[in-house]
Amino acid sequence: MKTVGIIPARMAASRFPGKPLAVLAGRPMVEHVYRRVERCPHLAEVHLATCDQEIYDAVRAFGGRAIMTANTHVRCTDRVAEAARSVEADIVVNIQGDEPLIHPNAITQLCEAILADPDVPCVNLCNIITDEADFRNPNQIKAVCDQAWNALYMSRQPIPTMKQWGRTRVLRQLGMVAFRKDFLETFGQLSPTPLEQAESIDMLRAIEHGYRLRMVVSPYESFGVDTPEDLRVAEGRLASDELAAELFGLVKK
Amino acid sequence: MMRAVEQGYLVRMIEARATVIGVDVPGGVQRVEAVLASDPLVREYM
Repeated sequence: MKTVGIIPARMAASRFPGKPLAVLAGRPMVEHVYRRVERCPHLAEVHLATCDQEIYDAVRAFGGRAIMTANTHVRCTDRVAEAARSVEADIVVNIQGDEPLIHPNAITQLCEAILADPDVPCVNLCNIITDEADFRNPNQIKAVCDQAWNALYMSRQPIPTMKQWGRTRVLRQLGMVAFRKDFLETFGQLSPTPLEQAESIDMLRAIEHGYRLRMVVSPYESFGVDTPEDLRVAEGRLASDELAAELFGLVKK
Repeated sequence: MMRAVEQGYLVRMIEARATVIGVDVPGGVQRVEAVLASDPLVREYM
């Protein structure tokens, strides 16, 4: 079984144009993600998929692999599906480029989960929300799942019920999804679905078409960069991050 | 029904064609009473 990681990225993010190349501790944000996930022993290769020459060139400049894709994709998973067609693989892990603190062990968890159960077409990473502001924040996607950890629904609204905050486990969906390559191809051909469009959440397309989406809980903290302010917060966190120190010598002594 | 959903059973939904009025609070009884007055099914059993 060959597993590859693909990081989709584009310059035209509505809330933060140019986000993938925003400089974080002296390096473009996508380089942090690329270098960190490269440490996952399951990934034979990491590729960056983009429609922007600028990103393509930046990735090549730091010695990374990059694939040019169409500029017509609305969902990042569709971009990954297109890129995956030119890569030889059995499992493809879609890795969001705006999580610069991603831990390689979290990618390992995803790979192990999909390798362990041949009946599962895709596995999505999540972690537990402990801050009520995150629960209410529409930029944080909440997920609910059944007893076998298959996702039932995902929403930008607080789910499950607000009434039980503090007593119910609340899951945050993270932008890391392992796909069997044949299912990724299928996913790319499925029509976008009403709830996918209403919530602007890619993975609802799989759920609404009746496919099983297994969730795996990561013990690692996540930090998604949505705004320039978030970038500064990420920088602060990287300053005490051991992996960043190992990769780039960033830790302040 | 979340118990069934969470245990992995399929719960198929169908859209009701008829009007359904649930009585949750005492005031609801009056609302239903008004609808029952013109309900043909009531005349069949009362």
